Parts: sequence; structure tokens; C-alpha cells
Amino acid sequence: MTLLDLALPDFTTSAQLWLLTAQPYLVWLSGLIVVTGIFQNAVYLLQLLVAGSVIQQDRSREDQQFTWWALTRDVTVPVALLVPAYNEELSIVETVNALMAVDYPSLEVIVINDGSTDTTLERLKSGFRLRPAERAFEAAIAHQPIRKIYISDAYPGLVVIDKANGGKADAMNAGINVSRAPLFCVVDADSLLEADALLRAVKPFITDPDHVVASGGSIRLVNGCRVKHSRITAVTAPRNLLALFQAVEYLRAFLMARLALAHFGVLLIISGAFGVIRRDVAVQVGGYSSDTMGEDFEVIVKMMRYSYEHRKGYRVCFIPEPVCWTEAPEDLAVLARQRRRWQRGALETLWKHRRMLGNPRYGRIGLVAMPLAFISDVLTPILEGLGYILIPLFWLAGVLSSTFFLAWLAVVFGFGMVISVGALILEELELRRFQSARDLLWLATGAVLENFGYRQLNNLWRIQATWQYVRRKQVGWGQMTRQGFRS
Amino acid sequence: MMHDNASNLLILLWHIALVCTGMGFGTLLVLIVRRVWLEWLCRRQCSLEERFRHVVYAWLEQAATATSVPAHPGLVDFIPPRKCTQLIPVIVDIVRLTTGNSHRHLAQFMTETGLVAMIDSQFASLSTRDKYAVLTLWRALPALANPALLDVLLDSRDDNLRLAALQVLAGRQDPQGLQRMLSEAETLAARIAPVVLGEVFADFGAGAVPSLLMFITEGHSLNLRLAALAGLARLPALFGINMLAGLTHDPEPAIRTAIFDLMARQSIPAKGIAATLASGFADPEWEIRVAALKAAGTHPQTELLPAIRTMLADPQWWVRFYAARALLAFGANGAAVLQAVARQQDRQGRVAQLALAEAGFAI
Repeated sequence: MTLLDLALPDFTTSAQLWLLTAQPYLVWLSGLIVVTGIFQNAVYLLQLLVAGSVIQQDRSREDQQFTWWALTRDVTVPVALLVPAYNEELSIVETVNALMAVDYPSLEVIVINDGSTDTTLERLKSGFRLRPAERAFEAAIAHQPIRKIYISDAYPGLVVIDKANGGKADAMNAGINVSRAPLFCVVDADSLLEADALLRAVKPFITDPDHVVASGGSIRLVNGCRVKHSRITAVTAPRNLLALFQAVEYLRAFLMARLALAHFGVLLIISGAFGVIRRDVAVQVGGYSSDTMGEDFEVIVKMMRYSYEHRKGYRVCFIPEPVCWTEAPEDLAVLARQRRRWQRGALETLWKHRRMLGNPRYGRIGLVAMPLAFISDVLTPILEGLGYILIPLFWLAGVLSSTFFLAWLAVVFGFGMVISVGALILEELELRRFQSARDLLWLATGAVLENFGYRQLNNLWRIQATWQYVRRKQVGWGQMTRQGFRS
Repeated sequence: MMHDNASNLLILLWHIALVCTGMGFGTLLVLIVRRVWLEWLCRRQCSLEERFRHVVYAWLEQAATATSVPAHPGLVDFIPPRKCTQLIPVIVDIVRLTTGNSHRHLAQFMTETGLVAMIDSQFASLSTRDKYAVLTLWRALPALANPALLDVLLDSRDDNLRLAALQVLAGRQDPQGLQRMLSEAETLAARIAPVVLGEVFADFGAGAVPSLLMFITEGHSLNLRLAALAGLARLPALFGINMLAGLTHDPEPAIRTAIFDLMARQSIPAKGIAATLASGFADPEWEIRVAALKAAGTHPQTELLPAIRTMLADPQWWVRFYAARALLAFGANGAAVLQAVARQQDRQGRVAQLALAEAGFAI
């Protein structure tokens, strides 16, 4: 059998003649699609293996010591918890109450009301008996003007900043300016933190204070879980199919990819939903950029760029333990907006820091992390998307052999399932956060089904975002409708 | 030929994908079956744990209200000795959720029921995780700690385990533990974060202070010196800050920062340190200038006022801000200086205005 297993009986039509002429090019294009797929899957498989080994070693060591570490908490450093809030009237009081109850010795919660048009500020004022106060701070990073700062006598660790609307990055910059703690942690106003999340996330800063500049942890989906008083009481897999696919996706991204990337020192993203960052370094690089939608990705890239340019030897840490629970969209339109925004953010960051791409001056970040991000964020969506259309078409037209078609199926669907199932296996072996075998079975179903439809949709949204970016079309954040935490 | 090779490669790829998929789903199936088995086991184990928890809480409640401690229930009747290790996390949990007298009663309960003896007898076979749990328990309830087992742990090759054992000894104020800690200090300092080591030093209390003061002098490793300073920072009432004055010219910036930070935490009134603090104001590192200004705020000495006033012109915002705060610590005199500066329309004036407003003073 040959690669070009053609079945063209006679060349009577012009279409067939065209196919014959174009055939070598079409085969090469198909080859490129498959080779990119193979490369991407090889990277994922490597990440899976590395993550398996790292999580096995680190988890046992961390787990053994954590009870003891949690008692040695006096050595922790003060942290400012920054909570940007825009139109969060429904959940803001509950969220802030939950954040104030986080188990950490020296914590200041700074809520930044980013010019909400609803009653977010009023709810905060009445919920926490806030009063206006003066607070000295250096305008080290630019942001929209602060209208007023509020504090509460009843809740001494709480500060509320009311500022003009400027977006999430702008709100976080205001929070960084006002905070005085050496570390800050950004938390989404709709996220729930594990009680010991900060104790875990701050540990790398204690053990290696000179080099660790950022630390993040696994983000999990709260959809389907039981929540009581803003605490997760039972972890179950989401019943909604769209949320289930995202649950599998999050497992793959956090438990596998980020853990492996952090192990090799090439992690470039700490989730915007939860991440602890050194304040002085963030100020040094100018804080979060308001001109990108991927500000969480961009700020880490900026800090690592600064590290290489000034020979600081900074590193970014990742904790496999779930530390933060967030709600995934269960609506296709909202999910599409979110994914387009993520893709756009990645493209903007890659373009802005294109100088680092493949540049040996930036060490493994320039030579490994940036090219990997380029392949997975720019090349793969386009080539995979093209593959879904062209390869079945070429096969039906007889341009590609059945072997080729089978190989493509193997790359796209076979390895796709293997990697998702691998992440599930890691979760079950090392973390075991899902409560029953039924959840595991349901997640396994999700790992299979997501390959048929959901994955293709994701690709479509990413291609759309790339196209919008290339055409320099301005897009907004869009409205994020949420179900809220079911108690 | 090339096409044949490519074709073979694709077939190989197809087979690899099939094998991997099979292996992946096979493993997952095994794990799901294991999970079903574990859930069944857990239901039994949980009932044991829940029963134990119920018995302990009921007993603690009685012990808290009764004039004489009631007889303990026949615990060993329902807990087989080999199962007692399952209860360690439950006991640690109860310790975390209770305080004071309950701890004393819990220690008594565990001793009388034979649970302590059971745990001690199986200690060697415990997993490292359970050993840490037992150490956590011992740290909270030092009366339960078994000296012989602690000795074994002190010879462990695991630094953290050794340190945790030392911490238990510190909780018992064991002088031998302190000797051991001091003799191992350099080795531990090379591997343990200074703040963590300092915390354990501080747990030994007053007895550790002379050695810590000795460690902070030059001749010891930087990590040990920082650990000793971190330890001293937790024991601020046990030494005079004049003893640190000689170290403010240390060549190591981290030491200078720690010294001034320590001075800022030291609440015992100190005199004759104005020159020392003023030397900190002139340090090239802005973090050290900030630490010296914080110390000046804790120990306001009138002769420092002009020097602090000049610090309001420092190029670093944090230095200017802490200079303003230090001035406020001088009371009316400092506030008057600051109010005069606040009339200026430069960066000194702005920081003075901010500090005054924050402290609730009229500008």
C-alpha cells in the first residue's frame, strides 16, 4: 500500500484533472496537518508523563509535611487579596465574607469596585459597614482615578476601592498600588478559595524567597459541586454536558500541562482566577497591561522577560492541589465569548513579546515556552481546523489513502482521548477529589464525547478570534452570565 | 519507497494510538473498580472514625462539666489495635478544633484508653505522612510525646522530620532538645528556609536567646544568621536592642534589613540608639532605609527628628512615606513638622499630606 492510494478511473472531468495536478500539494498540506498534530500530541504525552512523575513525588512530600507546615504558619508573609469586581451585586457580599474567612495569618482583602453600574458598592457598604477613609499609596502603576477608599471598623482586614471603570487589568493595578503587603493574590469575585489555598500558594515564596515571583494552583469547576456557606462540601462532576467537557479540559490544563511546564521552568501563565505574585516585581514591570485581554498571561511573560533582561533568575511555581473553584459557563454563546477572549489574549501577548520568540537571550522561555505557546495557540487551531474540513474531503475524493485517513483519525481522536483519560487517571491516583466512582465514569464519558463536537467548536472559536485579531477588529469582554453557587 | 515508509509510519501511528487508548481506558476501568472497592471500605472505616469521634467528643463534654473526670469508655472494645493508625488524622482534627482544657482531657483520654500505647507500638510502621500527623499531635499535646521515638526521629535523614521532632522537643522546653538543635543548626540552616528555622529556635524560648545572639555575629553562614534573627524577632522581650547595634554595618544587606526590622518590632524602650538608626537612614538600599525608619517610629528619639525630616526628600516613595509615619510617632512635635511640610507643593508635601490624612490629622 502506498501513501497515494489513488482511485481515479479516468481523467474525463476538469475537476479530476485539477485534482491530479494539485495532488502532491494537497498531500503535503495534509502531511503538515498530521505532523503538527503528532508534534502537539507528543508534547501532551510528554507533559502527561512528567506531570505524573512530578505530582507523585511532590504530592507525597507536600502532603506529608503540610499538616506540620500549616502549624508553622507564623513564618508566612502578609498577602493582599485583590478582588476586582464589576457588577457583582448578586454575590459580592457572600464572596468577600468567604475570602475574609480564608485560613491565613496576615491577610488584607482589597475589593476593587471597577465602576460597577449596579449596586455592588452599595451592597459592600451596607454589608460591611464601610466608611470612607484616607489611605496613602504611591501611584506606582497607572490606572483610572480612584474615587474613594473605604474601610470597615467591624472588619479590620477589609479595604474597598471605588474607582472609575477601566477593566480588570486596570482594577488590579489600582489594587496593587493601594496594597502594602509584599505579595498579592488576585481572585475573581465569583471564585471560591480552598481554606488553606493561600498557605499552600505562599509556601514556595518562603522556601525560595529570592527567586519565586509567582505561584499558582489548580483551578477546578464548581459546577455540580455542593456549596455551603461559600465552602465546597461535596465535589461532584458537573451534570451539564458543556460544563463536563470543560471539567475534563481544566483537569488536562492544570493537572497535566501547567504542572509539567512549571517543572521544566517554562510556565508562562498563572490563572487570573487565582495566583500569588510578588508585588515589587509586578510594580517593576508596570503591572497588568490594559491593552491585552490576556493580562494574566502577559504579566507573567513580562516578569520573565524582565528576569532574563536583568539576570534575576526568577521562577514561576505551580501547585497541583486544587486551590480555587470557579464557575464555568453552561451556555454556548457565553463560552464562545470566553474562548475567543482567551485566544485573543494569547495572540496579543505573543505579538507584543514576539522578540522573545526563539531568542536565546531569553533562555528556555525564549527557546521553549514561547515557541510552544506559538504552536499551540496560533498554528494548531488553524491546522487542526483545516484538517477537519480538508482531510475527510481529500479522502473521499481519493487524494489521500485510507491509511492516511486512519492515521489522522488516530492523531485527532485517539490521542485526544488518551490524553484526557491520562489526566483523569492522574486525578484519581494522586488527588482523588471527586467523591464517587460514578463521577469518574461520567468524567470518562466526557473525555470521550468532548472529541466529537466540543473540540471542533473550540477550534472554530479560536480561528474566529485569530481572524478578528488579524483584521484588528475591536471586541469587548461581553457579559458573563452565571448560575451562581447552588447551596 | 518514501511513500511506503510514510505509509508504514502512519500504520504504526494508528497502532500506537489504539494501544494507548486501550491502555488508558483499561487503567481507568481498573481505577473505577478500585474506587468502588475503596468506597465500600470507606463506608466501614468512616463508621469507625465517626464512632470514635462521637465517643471522644461526648467524653470531652462530660470531662469539661464534671468535677471528677468520668471513666473512659472501653475504647479498645471497638477499635482493633491495627486500626488505631486510621484514627490519627481524626485525633489531629479534634486537636485543631479544640483548645485549652480539652487538650489536657484529650491527652488523658488517649493515655488511659491505651491509644497512646497503641500508636507508639506501631510508630515504626507508620507512613511518613502519618508520622508527621503524630508529630503534629505531639506538638499540640507535648505530654503525649514519646522521648524514645523522638530520639529515633532525631536521627532521621529527613531534615524536615528531624526539625519537626525538634519542634516537639521545643514545645516541651527540653534542654537536651535545645542542645541538639544548636549542634545541628548549621546543617539545618543549609537546607531549611531561615524563617522556618527561626520559628523553631523561638519555640525553645528564653533558653535559646544567648545562642541566637551568638549566631548572628559574623563567622556563621548567612542562612543561620538570618534564621537566628528570625528567631530573635519572635522573642522581642528577651533581649535589649542595644546588643544588635554593632551589626547595623554588616556587609550583608539582608542582615542589615533584618536587624532594623528586629529593632522596629522590639517594644522595650531603648536609648542611645539614635546614631545607629541614623546610620540606617544613610544606607544605599532603600529597603534598609525603610526598616530603619520603622525602627525610628518604634523608638522615637528627639535627636532623630531633623534626620527623619530630611528623609522626606528621599527619591523612594516608601522611604518618604515611612519617614512621615516615623514623624507621626513623635506625637505633636512630629505632626507639627509634617504639617509644615504639607504646605509645600512638591513630593515631600504630597507624602506629608497623605500620611497626615491617613492618620486623621488636619493638614
